[in-house]
Amino acid sequence: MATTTKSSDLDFDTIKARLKDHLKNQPQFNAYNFEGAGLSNLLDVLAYNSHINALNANFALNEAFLSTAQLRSSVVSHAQTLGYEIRSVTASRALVNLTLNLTGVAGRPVNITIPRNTTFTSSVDGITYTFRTLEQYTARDNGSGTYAFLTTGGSADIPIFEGVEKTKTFIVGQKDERQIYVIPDDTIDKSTAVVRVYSSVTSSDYSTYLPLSQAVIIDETAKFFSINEVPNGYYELNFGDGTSFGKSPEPGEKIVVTYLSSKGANANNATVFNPTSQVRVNGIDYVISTVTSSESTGGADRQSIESVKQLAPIAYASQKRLVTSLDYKAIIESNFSQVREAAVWSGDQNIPIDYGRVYISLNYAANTPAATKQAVQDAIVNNFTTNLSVMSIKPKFVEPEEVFLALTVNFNFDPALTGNTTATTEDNVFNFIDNYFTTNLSTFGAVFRKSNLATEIDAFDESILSTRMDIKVQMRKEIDTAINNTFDLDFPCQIAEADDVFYRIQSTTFEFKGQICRIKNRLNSNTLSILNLADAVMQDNVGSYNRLTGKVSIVGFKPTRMTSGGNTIRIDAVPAIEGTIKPLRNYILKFEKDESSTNAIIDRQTPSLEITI
Amino acid sequence: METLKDYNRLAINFRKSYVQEVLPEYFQESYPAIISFLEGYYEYLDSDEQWGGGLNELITIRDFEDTTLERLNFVLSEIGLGVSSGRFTFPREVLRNFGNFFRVKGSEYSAYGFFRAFFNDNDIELIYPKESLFRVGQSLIGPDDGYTIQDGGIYQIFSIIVKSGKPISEWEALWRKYVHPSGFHLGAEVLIIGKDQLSFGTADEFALVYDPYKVHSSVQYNYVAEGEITGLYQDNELYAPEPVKAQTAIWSYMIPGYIQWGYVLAEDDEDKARERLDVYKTPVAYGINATINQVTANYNTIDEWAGFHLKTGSSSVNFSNTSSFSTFDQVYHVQYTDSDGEVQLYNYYK
Repeated sequence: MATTTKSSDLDFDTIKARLKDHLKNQPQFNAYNFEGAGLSNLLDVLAYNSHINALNANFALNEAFLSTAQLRSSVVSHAQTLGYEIRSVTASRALVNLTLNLTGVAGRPVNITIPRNTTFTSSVDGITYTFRTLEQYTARDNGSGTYAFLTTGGSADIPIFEGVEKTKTFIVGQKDERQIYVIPDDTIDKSTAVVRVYSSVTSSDYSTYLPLSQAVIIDETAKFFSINEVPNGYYELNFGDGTSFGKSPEPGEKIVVTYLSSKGANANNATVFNPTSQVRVNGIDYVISTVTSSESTGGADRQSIESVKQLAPIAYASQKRLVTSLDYKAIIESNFSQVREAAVWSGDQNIPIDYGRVYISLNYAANTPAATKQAVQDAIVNNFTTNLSVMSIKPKFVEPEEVFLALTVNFNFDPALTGNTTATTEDNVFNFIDNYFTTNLSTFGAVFRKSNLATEIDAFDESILSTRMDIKVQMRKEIDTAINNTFDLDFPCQIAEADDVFYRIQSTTFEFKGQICRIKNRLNSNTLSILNLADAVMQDNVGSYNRLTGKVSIVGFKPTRMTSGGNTIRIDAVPAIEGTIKPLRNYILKFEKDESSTNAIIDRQTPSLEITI
Repeated sequence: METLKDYNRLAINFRKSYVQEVLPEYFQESYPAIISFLEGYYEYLDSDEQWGGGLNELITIRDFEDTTLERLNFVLSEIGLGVSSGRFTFPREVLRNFGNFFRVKGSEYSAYGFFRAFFNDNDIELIYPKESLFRVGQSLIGPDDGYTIQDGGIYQIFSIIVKSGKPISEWEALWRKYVHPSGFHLGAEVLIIGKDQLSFGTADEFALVYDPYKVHSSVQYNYVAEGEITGLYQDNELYAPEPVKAQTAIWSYMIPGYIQWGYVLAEDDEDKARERLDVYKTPVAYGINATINQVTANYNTIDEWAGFHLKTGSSSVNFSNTSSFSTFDQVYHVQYTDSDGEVQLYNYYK
């Protein structure tokens, strides 16, 4: 949230009062009656004039700084001053396996190539999007007429990108004027841009210029380009100056820019791709067979103002180096639209300590496939950490830790104040809480505050009069039933002190020695035991918990099976203080729906009218 | 136009009243009050807190030299990672150097620059424990050589110790944000210089490095600590010719049931140097306070105190400002905080 600079008090009455005070203090006016109709009207006019102009001055002052600017054009301009490259729209990308079956076709060729711009359509939420290849791919007859198209690296996963290919042509003007090449399209995916410079308008000979980000050495002959968002919202194509910053196209040459115009995030999660291009063999068109390897992901709208405000300063501080943990965060979040946020910490702050390592945990958008995550990690290593980090310091990627909160919410409810039934209101509150977690707590470092949620529930519907809730914190662990499992769970809170009535630790059920059991702490003890449903001890000691550190240690746990199916055990802990649950560095708080409930307690504020005869 | 400040740059004064020029000339004679009134109004508008003043400020609002400290904070939020101008003695000078500072982050230059800029401290010392690592086949074995076996903590390759006059809790967060090469161990020594009445900070000021180990929420001793006190005697004074004196001195530290002979090292040798008496405190049974009290009581019987060394365990509290070490006249005190949560306090002769 930007802080707004305040150039003056903008309230009309305050302005008028101050103006009056100012004038009263002038010796020539101190005998005037400012409450009189004439002067008062005059003051009204002047105060109104001041009010309007003060508003404008305030807007102007705020636009002067990155952190307070409201207009995208101002934010873009400030970010450019810091050398920050703002992310454009990013095309959604899917992986498909493409095959062609020509079994029985006489005279079929050994190799078949599909060209760049082979297109496919897919539908997301009822809207059709076009995906396309950005390279040509070749398949070889397997001997029986089946052709599987492969990348140059030999992979059958062919990347296809959502968007429409567009071309923009410029003729280079006189060199004594700075040439500006504006691409009037705010849907460009800059990463797909291909820039060719032809020696003349009619020539077919061209030189391909490469993105400046790929530059290693820049001299007067280096052919690089950059595309940057400019304050009017469009994009500007830039070249070197012809001397020290790379080659500049010569007057009379023709520049042709080809790029994808994309719908960004809207085209994510497409799963079925239908080819609209056909392959012609011996004069006959054949349809390519498509199998989805990875649904479309990674599509993103152009970088938001808030994101630019947050990342531009830390990207400037990084100076395109990877030294501090903050540098890693800046570089990753600025360059990977698939990553919602990154948590980065030094190995000396890790538990256990791991010197020479930088720990990176990435929070991806929902439904991001494992292949995409791996590709992002590989790109971070290959494109950034290998080249930019301190020598011998290596990154280590760790998954975000999910911590679930199970809430038992009881709210006082007056049915007379709403048209909804009790059950409907309970469902609405439940969904409201679910949405609250998604909106407010699904990021690293987001803190759960019980009072905030209770306040929002109270405000959610006027029929809700008050709210209270009990909270359990839950962590999960995959179990291998073939071995003795020993593991620790680090809860992000202190755990309640052992009690003689209530259990503080309790797991989901599993089968053990032929009975359905749970792990619980012994009453009045931090030792964990396996108890059957009648609370009879089946295994006396299966670990312990440290209430101060929040660490739950399970030792030698070997169930027969988990009763819920799967291999995951869920362990609930009662927090010592329910008011605030503050996650550790790469923890993300989530709503545990299965063990949460919302319960309305009827609380009629207006007694019904009863007539007794 | 006039230049408000002679920077030969931007500061141009747009404040000019056009009331008299705009109104008909006869107003000056017939209605002088309305002219004064409107000029008073424009004067009010141009005052610093009003929009006229704000507009005038626009010209120099991003000028490091001219803009107000309040505006400077907005510039700092862009190019200084949000640090407040109030942290610096010379914020405008610091602002000019942030670009260079970021470019050299992780270097010795940046470390010294960090303490100069943020804490006005020119006396820090960087220590690389890797230089004290014991190397098989190269290093000599023995305490005099000062080599340490790699311990997976301070004494390993990726390790830095910063010795400064401020506890690590004051600068660690900023250091990690601006300078610290991620992946390296960060240790700290605090050099406290004082005389007569030493005043140690509260436990919070001596906060341990890592939250998981930070268990001290209040100032108290639990005495789970080790300690060593060193006194110097004249040559041969410990045993000969007055062995009784030494024995008396040693026994003066003895609290029956708490300390064993094995914990007392009385040195005597054939050289002509002064002798050293080391008294070790048992890790559990003998408290810091007790040790200090005993030394205080016997202070005058010993020729010169070389200092003391106290070490807490990882679950122990730190030294608090309730501690009084005023009887020690050594002026150098170093508090050393390890990443394992161990705190050591040295008082030594320098």
